[in-house]
Amino acid sequence: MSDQTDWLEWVRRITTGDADAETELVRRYKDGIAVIIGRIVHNESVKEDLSQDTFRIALEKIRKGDVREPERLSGFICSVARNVALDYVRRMRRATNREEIGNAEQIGDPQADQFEQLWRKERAAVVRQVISELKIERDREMLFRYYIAEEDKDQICAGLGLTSQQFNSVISRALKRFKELYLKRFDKF
Amino acid sequence: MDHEQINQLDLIDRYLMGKLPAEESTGFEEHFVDCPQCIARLQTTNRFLQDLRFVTVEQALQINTRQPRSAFRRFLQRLFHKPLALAIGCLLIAAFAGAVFVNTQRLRTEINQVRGSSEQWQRRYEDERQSAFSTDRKHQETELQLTEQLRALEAKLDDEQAQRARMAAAFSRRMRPEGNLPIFILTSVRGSEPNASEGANKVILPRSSAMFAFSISLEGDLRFENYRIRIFDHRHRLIWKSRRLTPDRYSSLSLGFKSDFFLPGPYSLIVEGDNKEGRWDVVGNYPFLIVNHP
Repeated sequence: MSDQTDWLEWVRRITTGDADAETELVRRYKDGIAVIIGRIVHNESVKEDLSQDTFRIALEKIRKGDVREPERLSGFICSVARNVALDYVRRMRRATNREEIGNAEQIGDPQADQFEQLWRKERAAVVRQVISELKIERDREMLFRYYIAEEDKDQICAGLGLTSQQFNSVISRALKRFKELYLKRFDKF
Repeated sequence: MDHEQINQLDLIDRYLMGKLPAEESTGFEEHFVDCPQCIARLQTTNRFLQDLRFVTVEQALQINTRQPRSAFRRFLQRLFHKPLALAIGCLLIAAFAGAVFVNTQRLRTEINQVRGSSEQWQRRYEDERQSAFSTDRKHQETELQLTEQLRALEAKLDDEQAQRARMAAAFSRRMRPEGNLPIFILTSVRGSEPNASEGANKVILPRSSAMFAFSISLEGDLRFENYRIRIFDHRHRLIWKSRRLTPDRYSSLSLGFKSDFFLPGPYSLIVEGDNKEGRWDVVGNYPFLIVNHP
């Protein structure tokens, strides 16, 4: 996909105010940008606002000719998204005077509203079902040690007598089942 | 960055769990931001991770709130029925609480130490992994460079061998005994400076012969015991000088040259005799014109 893109032409079209080129930029990068911002900021509504800010800033910079290497447009968009999210976290820290928080990436959702809480509970049911469908206790333990305790993969494999391939297979099956159930229940991510 | 590499290095999980070093994280972002396949996997894994965390927290809260309350109630009910047991119980509780407090402090310190140590190990592991990665890359680059150098040296060696073979062939051709060696008899011009362009001695060198010879007749002028010969080009630059020569029994001096020694053009050959007083007297001039065989 990226290899076939005429980056120079695309950037030139955005610079000249071509609305189609701008729409294409948003369509192509919005999901990736949401992942980058979502890793830093965990509030859904804030995430959406920051995504919009990212595209606004990126388009302004492109129009001003700040993108000197059009073939590195993806990297440029990523850096704008990161800066926007980190800037938001810094502002939040100053506003709440939470100097004790060391890791900006760990700042979570400060106030989940009722809808959010309800939605989380709905989603939790899906995870519970996935876990309950894992018939082997070892597989459940593996998931918790890997994703919750964040233990090293090699350490878990050594402890449970698993090969890397078996480990990947359990994770892959769990994620696949989770996706199936999730989409069945909520239609989309 | 390709998908095989992403799977092998568990980049999706490590990215979402914040375990990737900044540089690697940036590189991965630049890839997946434009890769629908990776985005789909990131979305699924991220959602699963978040929801699993939520479920775990929820379960932990339920365990903390349910179990102590019911046990505590049963304990209180028993105690209030027996005052002596209550007093002993209070003392035991105080002692137990003290022990628990001390033990908790000790455990907390140990946990902090272990956590610190664990973080150090994790950092060290990341550093070493990065270092191994860059070393491996450097090794590959060096290997590539060495292969290129080896290739260049092999090509150079081939060239030199070919050149040596050509030279050996030419040398052996020249070293072959030769029949019909061209011998040119030079005659002298007496009196004024010779005009070489007139071609008093025209030397036409055949292509087939690697060597040729000059025979210089002294024409009876045998005043000297030793002679020497000097050859000048048309600009009067000395291009060759002989050692001391003694005439043969035909009163001639002989010189042999390779065919390619002279470029085509006029030359002047001067024969001089040793007068034994430290000087050389001119015996004769022998101008000649070198012409290559057409």
